[in-house]
Amino acid sequence: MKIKILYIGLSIFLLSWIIPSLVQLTLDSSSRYPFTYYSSVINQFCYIDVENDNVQGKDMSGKEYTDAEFDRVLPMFYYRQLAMENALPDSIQGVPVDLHSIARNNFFFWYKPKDKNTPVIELYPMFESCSGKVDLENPSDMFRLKDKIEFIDMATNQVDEQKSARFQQALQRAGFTAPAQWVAGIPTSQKAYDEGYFVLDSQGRLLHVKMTNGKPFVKDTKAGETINVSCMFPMDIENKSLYGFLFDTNHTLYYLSTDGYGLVKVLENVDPDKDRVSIMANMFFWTVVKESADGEYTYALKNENMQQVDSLFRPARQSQWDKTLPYLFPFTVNFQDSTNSYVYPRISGYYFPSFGINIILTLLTFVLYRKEKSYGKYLASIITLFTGFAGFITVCILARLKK
Amino acid sequence: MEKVIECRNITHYYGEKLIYENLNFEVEKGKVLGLLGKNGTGKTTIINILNGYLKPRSGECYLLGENMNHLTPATKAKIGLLLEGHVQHTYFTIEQIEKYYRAFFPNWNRDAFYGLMEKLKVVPHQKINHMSCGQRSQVALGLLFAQDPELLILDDFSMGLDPGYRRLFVEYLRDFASSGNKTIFLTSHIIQDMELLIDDCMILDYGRLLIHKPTREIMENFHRFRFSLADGQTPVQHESLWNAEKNNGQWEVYSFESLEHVRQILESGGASIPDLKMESLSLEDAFIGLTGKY
Amino acid sequence: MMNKALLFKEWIKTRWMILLMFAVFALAMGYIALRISSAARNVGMPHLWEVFILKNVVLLDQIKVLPLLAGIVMGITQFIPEMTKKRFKLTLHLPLGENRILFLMLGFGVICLLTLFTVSYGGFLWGLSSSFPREVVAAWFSTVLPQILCGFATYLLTAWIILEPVWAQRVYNAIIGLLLVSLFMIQGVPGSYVYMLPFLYGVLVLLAIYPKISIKHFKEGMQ
Repeated sequence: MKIKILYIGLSIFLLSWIIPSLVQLTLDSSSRYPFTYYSSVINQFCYIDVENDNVQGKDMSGKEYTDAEFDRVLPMFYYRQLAMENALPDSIQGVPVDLHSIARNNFFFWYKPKDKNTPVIELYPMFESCSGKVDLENPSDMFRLKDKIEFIDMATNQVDEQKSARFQQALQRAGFTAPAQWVAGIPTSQKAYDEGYFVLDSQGRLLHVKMTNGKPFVKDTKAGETINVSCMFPMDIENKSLYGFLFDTNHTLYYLSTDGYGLVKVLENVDPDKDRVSIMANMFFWTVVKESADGEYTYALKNENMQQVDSLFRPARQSQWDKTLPYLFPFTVNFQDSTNSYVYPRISGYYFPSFGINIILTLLTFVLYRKEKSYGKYLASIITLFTGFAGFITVCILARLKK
Repeated sequence: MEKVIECRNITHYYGEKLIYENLNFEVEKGKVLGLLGKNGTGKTTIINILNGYLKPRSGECYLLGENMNHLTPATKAKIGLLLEGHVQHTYFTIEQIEKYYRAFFPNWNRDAFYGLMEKLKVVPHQKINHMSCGQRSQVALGLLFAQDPELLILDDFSMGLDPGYRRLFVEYLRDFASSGNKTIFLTSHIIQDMELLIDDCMILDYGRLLIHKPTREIMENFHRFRFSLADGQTPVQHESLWNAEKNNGQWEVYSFESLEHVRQILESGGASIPDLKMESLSLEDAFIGLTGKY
Repeated sequence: MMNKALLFKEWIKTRWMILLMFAVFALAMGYIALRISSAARNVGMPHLWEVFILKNVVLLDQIKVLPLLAGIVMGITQFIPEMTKKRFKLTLHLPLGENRILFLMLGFGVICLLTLFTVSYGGFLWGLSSSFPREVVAAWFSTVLPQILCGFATYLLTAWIILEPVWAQRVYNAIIGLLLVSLFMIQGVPGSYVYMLPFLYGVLVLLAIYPKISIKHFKEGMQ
């Protein structure tokens, strides 16, 4: 009997995973927020409305734009199209612009919680930052950095002791305290330029490590002295104005400026474990979007000082699934979600509105067990009452409770 | 006397079909009990219930004093079990299977096993898979003799055996039974040769136990009576007369009663039976007399 | 002594199949090793490092169903002979406790699979470590570990399903089994199973005791 209870438990657990996920497949439709960009021409948000299957550019006053008009109201986004049509204005916001200056200063940053919460193989290629060549060359070794830095030659799988020692000394001179918590960089030669890696040491120091002319370059960014760095996402952007974005442990997003490693606050109240962030930057304004459970927050920040000039909130729309779920299932089990790459059971619930269905199922259980004289009848009914469909199927089909 | 097997109030159904209701019986130590019955009367069912491989609707069995559902290893070691069809682990060779079972039983008698194997004209590393049905039954039997159990339970041991093997089997069992305080519980649907072996006879009919008596009592007291009756007349119905049947113009009836008593019963119906004859029976004939031909 | 005899029976039943599985695993590992060495010659070691480290490619993923199949095969070779003609009655009649009989038999299968997996995967990863850093070996190990655990799970599931005498219940057990097996096989990056492992071990413990339900049904003569 005890073993049977274990069997029933596992069965309910598995069915609470598979049945809701099958129902979700039939009900779910992805609802996306409209594309929104801050216009440097009319100084307000413009967005693409895709309601009713027709795509329409609009601004916040509700004014509708034709495609050509929409390109012109968002010149910093559609500048290539405008340049092709020779319709690029000479100046915007009183600043002369051309195709190249716009392209140079535009960049995009997309962040999702999975970027942070994904296991990685902790080996990285160290590029030559000052190769003097147009293209970056792939190095012949990779390094690991935990207690100490070690370069491993890829052809022989042997540690390059001398090179490792040189970098280790440089790290120590810069105050590195082992072990490193993480190493962040862009480990590909397919990038515009190389700025090496950023390393968070055990004391919370954020160190910049790269190789210039074959020699180690290690510098404490001092960012760790003002904030508790949580994670960092290095960037390679054309104007080289920043090294990358980082979150502190208080849910604030910063960028690390190339101007003396200055730390510039971008946005507060962003939880890197739950919220998505996208930044579409141009030389005048950054359109910063934070997508969290309750909705989408859009901010327009001035490029030069990150002052907020406008903001917008769109509440999250409940999908058919979100609305139905609490009425169907008292709880659900999932093994994966969008916020991280790890597989493990996640239980959500408890949804009391499901009791409507549960009571019906309980009565049905009672009917199916009517011939049973033992306490199994009551146990089966109680199980169904609290676990809904999963329990009902388990005790009525998969594992009949008999004395 | 010590009771080796005790079954109390066994009731069992397969679905809605009654197999037996409130079946009670005991087997005393040192006896050879034969459970006889036609096919489908529930002989194997009893064996399964006895060994705890079937849960009856109600009732309890005790083997060597232990409840069938919770036999201890020590008790299991004292019981030899032959499954219907002489089922054994056929992926073993003769040597391997002897080596395997030897480890489990303290009184293992290696010679008893190999003695029997010598008669089989098989080589020790021959796989049991590749043997004939009769040879396989000998292997199963040899293993039981080597185990030297206090209680032997044999389910339909004669099934599929030719007469020679069956006789050999019976002789071995008789020797085994007479060698000490051995109890044997066996089922069979072939009655031939059985009178040589079994002390007590239990005969099952569909849904009930017909009789449970010493074999000798059946052999000595159960007779066939032949007589003639005028056309259109039938013998009287009586609880001591079994299976009246007309055969070649003569009536046959079976009874435990004496010739005189049977005459009294038959004539109580008003008929006169001048040619009543009493005949002794083999166990097989007695079995048919008790259970009928169909 | 008795334990040894019971294990002897399991060995006689399964030895050729075990040998065959060793051969299949050795061939599979050899094939993957050959692919790596030929790639190393053709595109060079550095490129392989990049693919393995930065692109998360785990070549052992190509034989991810092998442990799963090994578990099923082991379960079948061990328990189908017991259930044909209900020979399991003979085994249960042995003068040993029922639990001991069951756990000896399951233990035998688990140890055989463990040896098979340890030798084949262990040998492969040991060879891998001569050309690739320990991080890669660890990543590959963490990728194949759930697959290996899946092999134990399918073995225990197969035993559970075969020992179950009631056909409908066998089907239900198979449904539960399928759902469970899919939990061991969720596609992910190396290391994504790290928090799942305790759950998987728990599942294996449950699966090791579920055959007791089947044996109870068997002993009650349920059909």
